[in-house]
Amino acid sequence: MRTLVVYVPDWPAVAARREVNTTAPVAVVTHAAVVSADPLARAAGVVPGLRRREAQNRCPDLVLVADDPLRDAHHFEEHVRAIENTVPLVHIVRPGLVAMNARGPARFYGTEERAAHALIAAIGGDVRVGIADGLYTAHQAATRGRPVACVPVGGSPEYLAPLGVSRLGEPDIVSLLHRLGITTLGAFAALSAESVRERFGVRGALLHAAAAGLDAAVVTPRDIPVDYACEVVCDTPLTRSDEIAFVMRQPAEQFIDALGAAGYACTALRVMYRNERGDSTERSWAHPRAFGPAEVVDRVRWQLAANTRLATTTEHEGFTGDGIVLVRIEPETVAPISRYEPGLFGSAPDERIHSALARVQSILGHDGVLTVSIGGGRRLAEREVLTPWGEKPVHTRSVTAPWPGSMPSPAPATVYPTPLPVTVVGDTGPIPPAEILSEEPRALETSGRRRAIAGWAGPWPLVERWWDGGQSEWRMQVTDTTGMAWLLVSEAQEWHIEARYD
Amino acid sequence: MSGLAGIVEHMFELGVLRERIREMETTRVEPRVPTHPLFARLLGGGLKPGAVYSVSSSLTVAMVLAAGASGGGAWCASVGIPHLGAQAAHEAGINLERFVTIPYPGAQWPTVVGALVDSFGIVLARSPGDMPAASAARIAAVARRAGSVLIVVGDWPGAEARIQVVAHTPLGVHQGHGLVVGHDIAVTVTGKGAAQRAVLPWPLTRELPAPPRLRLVV
Amino acid sequence: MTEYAELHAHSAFSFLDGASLPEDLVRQAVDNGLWGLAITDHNGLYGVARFAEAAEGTPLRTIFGAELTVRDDWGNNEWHLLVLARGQRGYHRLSAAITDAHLAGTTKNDPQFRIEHLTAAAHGEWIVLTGCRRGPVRRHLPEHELPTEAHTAAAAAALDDLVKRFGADNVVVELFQRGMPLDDPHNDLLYRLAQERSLRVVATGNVHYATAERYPLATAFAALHERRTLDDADGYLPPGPSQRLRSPAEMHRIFARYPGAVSASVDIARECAFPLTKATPRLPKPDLPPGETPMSRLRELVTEAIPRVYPGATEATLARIHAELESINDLDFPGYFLIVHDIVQFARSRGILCQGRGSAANSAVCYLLGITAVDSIAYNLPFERFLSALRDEPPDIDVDFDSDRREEVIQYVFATYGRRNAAQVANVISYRPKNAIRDMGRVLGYSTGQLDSWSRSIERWRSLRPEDSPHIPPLVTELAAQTLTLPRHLGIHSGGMVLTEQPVGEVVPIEHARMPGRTVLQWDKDDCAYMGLVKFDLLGLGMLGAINHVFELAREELSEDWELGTVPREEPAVYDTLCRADTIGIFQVESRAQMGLLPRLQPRRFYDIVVQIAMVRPGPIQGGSVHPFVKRRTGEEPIRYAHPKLIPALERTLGVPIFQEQLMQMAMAVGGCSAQDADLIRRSIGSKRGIERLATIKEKFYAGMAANGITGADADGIFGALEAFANFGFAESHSIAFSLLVYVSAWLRLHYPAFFLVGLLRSQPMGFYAPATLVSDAERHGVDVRIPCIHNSGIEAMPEHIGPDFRHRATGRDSCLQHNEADVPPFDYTRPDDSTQHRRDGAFAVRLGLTAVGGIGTATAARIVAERELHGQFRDMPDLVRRCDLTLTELEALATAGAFDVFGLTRREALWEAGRAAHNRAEYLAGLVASVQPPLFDDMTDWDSMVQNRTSTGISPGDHPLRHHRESLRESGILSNSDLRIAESDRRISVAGIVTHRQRPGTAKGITFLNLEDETGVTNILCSPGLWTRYRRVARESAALVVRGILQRTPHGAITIVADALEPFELGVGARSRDFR
Repeated sequence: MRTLVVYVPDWPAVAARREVNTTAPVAVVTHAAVVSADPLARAAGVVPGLRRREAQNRCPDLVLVADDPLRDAHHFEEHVRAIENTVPLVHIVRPGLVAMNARGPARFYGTEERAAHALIAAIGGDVRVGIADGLYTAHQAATRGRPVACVPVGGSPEYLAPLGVSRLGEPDIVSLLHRLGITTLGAFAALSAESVRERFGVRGALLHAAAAGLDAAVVTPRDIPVDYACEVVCDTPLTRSDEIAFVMRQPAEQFIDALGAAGYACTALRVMYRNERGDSTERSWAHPRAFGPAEVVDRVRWQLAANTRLATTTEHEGFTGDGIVLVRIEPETVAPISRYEPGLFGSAPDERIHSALARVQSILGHDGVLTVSIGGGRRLAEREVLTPWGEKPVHTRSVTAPWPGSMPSPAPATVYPTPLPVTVVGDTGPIPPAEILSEEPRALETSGRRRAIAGWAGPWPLVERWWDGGQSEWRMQVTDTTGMAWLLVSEAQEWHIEARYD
Repeated sequence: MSGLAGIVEHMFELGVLRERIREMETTRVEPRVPTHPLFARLLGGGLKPGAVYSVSSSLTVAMVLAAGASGGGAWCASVGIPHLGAQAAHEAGINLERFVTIPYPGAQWPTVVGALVDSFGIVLARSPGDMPAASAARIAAVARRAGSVLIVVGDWPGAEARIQVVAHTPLGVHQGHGLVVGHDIAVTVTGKGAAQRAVLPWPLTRELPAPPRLRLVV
Repeated sequence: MTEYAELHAHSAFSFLDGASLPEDLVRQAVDNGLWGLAITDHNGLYGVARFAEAAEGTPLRTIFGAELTVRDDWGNNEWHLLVLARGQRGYHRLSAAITDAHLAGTTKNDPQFRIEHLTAAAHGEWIVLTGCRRGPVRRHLPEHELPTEAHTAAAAAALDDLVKRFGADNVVVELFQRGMPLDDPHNDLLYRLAQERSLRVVATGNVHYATAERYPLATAFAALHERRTLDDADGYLPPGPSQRLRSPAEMHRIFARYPGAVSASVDIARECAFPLTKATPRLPKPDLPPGETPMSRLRELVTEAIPRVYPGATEATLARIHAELESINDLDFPGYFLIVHDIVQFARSRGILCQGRGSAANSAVCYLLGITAVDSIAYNLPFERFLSALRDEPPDIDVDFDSDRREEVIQYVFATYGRRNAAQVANVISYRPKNAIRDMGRVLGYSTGQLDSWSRSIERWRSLRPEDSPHIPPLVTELAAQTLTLPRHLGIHSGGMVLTEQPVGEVVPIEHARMPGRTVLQWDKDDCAYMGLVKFDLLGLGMLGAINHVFELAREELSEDWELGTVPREEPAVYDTLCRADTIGIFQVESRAQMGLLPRLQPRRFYDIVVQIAMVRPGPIQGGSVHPFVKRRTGEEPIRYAHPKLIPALERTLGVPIFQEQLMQMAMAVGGCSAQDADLIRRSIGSKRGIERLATIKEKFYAGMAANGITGADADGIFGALEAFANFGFAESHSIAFSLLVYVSAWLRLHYPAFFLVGLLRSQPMGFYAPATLVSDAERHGVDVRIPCIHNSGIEAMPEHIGPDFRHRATGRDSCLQHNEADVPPFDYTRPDDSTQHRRDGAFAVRLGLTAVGGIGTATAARIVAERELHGQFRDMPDLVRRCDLTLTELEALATAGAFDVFGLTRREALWEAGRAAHNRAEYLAGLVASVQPPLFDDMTDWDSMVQNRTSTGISPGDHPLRHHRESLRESGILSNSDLRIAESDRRISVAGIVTHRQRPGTAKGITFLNLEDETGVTNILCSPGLWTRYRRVARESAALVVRGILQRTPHGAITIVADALEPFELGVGARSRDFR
């Protein structure tokens, strides 16, 4: 089949670049090797396949971004839309690489080349197009397109013949071919299919067919288990990302549960919106393992953000588009349940709790309702990890670590989110924080109020994260003559009240 | 420990007529919501479902009151208490897995508290101060209907009982050495009857030399 | 009264649990006015010798202890017991107990301390503190909450148990302040327990660093210890810098509530303190028949050997031998010589080649005993030098062994003297800039790639200044700079063994080394020297292995029998080779720097080699000895002495100090130094602490020189030389022994170039050059080198007869087999090189071994060779597979290397066939694999074969990548190495080649040297720092380069290109260099 391939070079690096505000070279890496390098990085000698350490050696200011296919897909969205606006019915091979049947666009735009140029114009930036009989050849042509490479009908073998065998991308077979003196795809293709199959097995035979320009175009329609699709109709058009997220939470759970009940986990899904004007957009999303309900909701939010060109973090702002009236999610690929990992949130809260909190959230905003978990840290406020209802708590400090220097139980019942300034006064004046107090403390003074001190313990040092510029601070406990006990902490060498034992 | 029947008896004596009627209407003895033994004794065996309690100036006491229910599996919320110490709540026995906080309800206080008492087993809320009596009554009615307990830090008109802290005694801190190892909180409980006094030793696990762990001062 | 002794202090020898050196702790303790200090490192006495040395001459009393990790019998429940030794007897018991625990374990760092053993070992000679949070008592108290009654009861029970085990007088309850809220409740509780039991209470600092400034480093170490970043370790780090040395006044203030706790520290310290040097042990006594003494035994051995070694000895010879024996007797060292003799005898009995060196080794006695092959009488090395050396220092004989077999010798020593009386000396691996940047960068969360890049950029050796490395974050450099000189881990000294009469484990603990079968002391050589432990160095030398191979091959193939001592002396052609700097593969003189010096010094006699190899060392280079010596040697500069008293010391080196012995002689001659000072200088030389030690005698030295009328520049020059040598100098006594190996390896290379190549290839990795360079060099000397072959290759390289009739027939001149008694005439560099006429193994080619093929391991190669010898040659590839069970990958590797050419297959056919043949493994039925005609492949070009040889074996016999580029290079006007020999000097030329080495010697002021190899030889390239910076990427990363630069030639023909431009050269095949070693 006549196939047209659109190729954006180094797509993962291009996508990563959008998320790391930097002017330095950027490379996308796995734990071991470079996956993709942007033009700046390439200029410094960083190429895909290079070991991560060597890459940083060659280019010490290289910004490394962890490989993330979702990010690639996310940012590729706009290109897909641009392509779809030009040519309907495309197949995303992977982010950065889109294939389509060339016949339609060629007919519409007059020639294949014109179609190619129309696509390039629609996308903008560094985009290559290859057109050939079959996906493999079109892909090879696209990588060599300046910007368009068109292989005539029946011309694939001739086109591929002079290219190096390293384009087969299988290092062990490529190495062996080199040693056999077979350095081009043409020379490889010239071997008999039988002998190749005998020497290299099935894998070699497939490569051999590709090298001969014989691959079948595999642009096939998707097999969608329609039964599991899930639609949410909104009575009043929704205009806020967090509203939609809220509305989607339960349907997403039902969607995942229903698949689960049938023995499936969802590994890729398709999300469709319709707005009040009847326009709809749809995208598919993949997950490296399997989607949980919260992740489904995330994708829904992201897609909305992508479509309205808002950053995903500004969820409380209204978006500029039209109100959404319908959201549809459907599974695109599924895997047997054994691979499915349980959801993030333990047992689901009962429905009454959920709906009550949902109501409160709709009044006070997404982060008006918080769950609390005990985190790590030496300061009391740090140990309270507050998370909007429905989200997973993120602990930035180790929960299991002992945190030497933290206050032992009993914990004070009142912890001020922001410590309040206080002056510790002795007979001769204010007493600054220090390991040994300059004199015996007599009173605490806050904005004119004075409490006589009955006893004190400490000060204890509190040097936190000196490597982040943390300063030497102190802590002490004070009891006043009314029977109240206080926990003081110094900030920038001034005493503050951190908590009260009430 | 006095049995459930004894409590009902006691209530009769106190003439809590409406309660009695309600109990008779439901034709069963409403179980009490579990709470700390000290308060259970002072409050007639436990917290009364659907009731509102008012606590003055001690979050420790408020949390101890709520802990029994929370530890027993009830969902618990706090409203308008951004300075509530989570670690202390945990130590008091509140199950943080089933706990949410709405730190800044603002003007929506009545709505929020109303929504929560409708579905949560126990709600801690700091009194907003100037609440219209109608709102208070509405919230109380919702609580009563749902059988949940509202513990208000501050005043509340028509509270089931008022628990007031009369003295704190911190322990363990001396002149330049030591450490807060706990405190004794002396409270008075004013219900529909005579005021009672007691001292709550904190933390609950604190090992006290004699006298026994629970000291009732009448 | 405000006196205080710190009884609980960890030094950096608690490895990652202490951030100050013992020296730093001593300095701070003295500053703080402490009465005494105890070093209590984990599970060992690693730092005590340094501690004792640093405290010498200060008012500080030294207490020795350790914190032992005790393990419950079955569980992995670990806790720490802090033990302080009560005086010397307690110290020996502690060291012995630590030794026992380490040896009871099976691996490094796995000491098996059991409380029952320790209880039995203490004998009332230890004081036990209740210790840290992991101590026997505190471990029962929860760390982050208040103790309950149950906790208290457990702690009390543990304390009672301690008292029961060690006695109430020996158990002391320890209080300390870590800056944590629970300090007071814990101390109160412990104080109460002590009071209830009438036990002593002592306050300590639980010290982990000298001052608060070291707190960040201590936390970084803590993170490193847990292999975490600081961010990840945050929740485990102490909250403040409390674990430091405090002053008595501070301690009194902090512990005022516990009366007597501070002053008790002095009482305890008084019970424990003693000077460590009292613990020095003696040498073991040899096992002798009754009535014999070590001296009588030594005389007997020497007398027996005289007729054999010196037949017809002259009166003078006999007199000298007698005089040597007398001085050995006077100094009471016969036992030492007997031990070395015993070890060497063992090696000889096993056919292990060895050679002694060191001050005492250059004696007629050692020659007679077979310890050295250098005949000091024949080479006219005067007796006075041996005598003076022996008088000022303990005997020092290092013995080098064939490195492949040294382990047998070491195990023999362990077996003979016992694990408890013999142990190897440790090597303290200290932080150096590279690993400091790496470790500190890692804990600060930087990625491995960044660390690589930074540590590569640190091409400087000892300093670490932020301004030198602006691209490294300052926090990393600051922290890294603090770690410099701190110990990182304990390695094993290359071969030093200590033998003692009393079990050495009672003086210093012995532990397992990482290497199986090795046990090692917890002290390094400086510590042993300070403590007067006698060290025997048993070192491994790759060249001895190579020489041994050549000896064996000459014996087997040509019936020519040589030993180190019998190789014909003073052959002029050997010196010609050296003068031409044609020395690739020759011991010591093959390096770039030596090659550069050879044509200038023109060695013509044995002693010239001795000077030559001592010259290219940091000491003589930084001390400014090299240029004056060369000028004096060539007569360009007159010989002069700063003072007539220096003539005896410097005469033999033309008035210029070259050897470290000369520095000591100078110090005594004109520096007013006593023998003791000279001994200090000796220990300073080559020591990590040398420079600091020298500073202590500087004033005295200058005064002494002034008294002799040496002042100003002359005085500075002499002291400067001393400091330079302290950095690294080479001893004449060692140089003499090495020179023999230089001569022997040069002689063997000249006469048996094929065998010599085999010897070198079998001893890889060793030396300066990669196998490919060695092969190319041998080919230039007429050796035929052949690629691996399935029929003809052994496991490793071996000689192969070129024709069938040449067995036992040597080529060359028979005159080569005699000693040359005449003087070697001056070098005539106009005479053509006739070295090929000396070749005796001309009937042999070199066949590379099967293991030369990448992907073929020794086991596979051995299987192939054994099967071939047992059942004959292989018919074809399937036959090979069936009989030797090779995998497809192995077959492909052999096919690529051309090993199947003998089957009449081209490499490509063989490679294709491998797929089918691999199915013919023994587990399948025979004969199932039908042979089908493989596809037709293009014939391989020379280039293809060369590339395949290089990729497969790293060697391309008979060919070199540059040969294929030569035509186009010539068109571009780029010269070859051989062109350079006739090119005009001081002209700008270009050369191209593979980069074999990149080097930046510490002495070269930032200059980088490259070696560029082409098909005709190796060219030296000099890159200035400016040029290097400009071409950094190209210079570092390119496997091959085109270099443009000025050709410089010395009068004797040594050529260097001073580069002014570098350009990458597309070689078309991979190559690897040896960089910055």
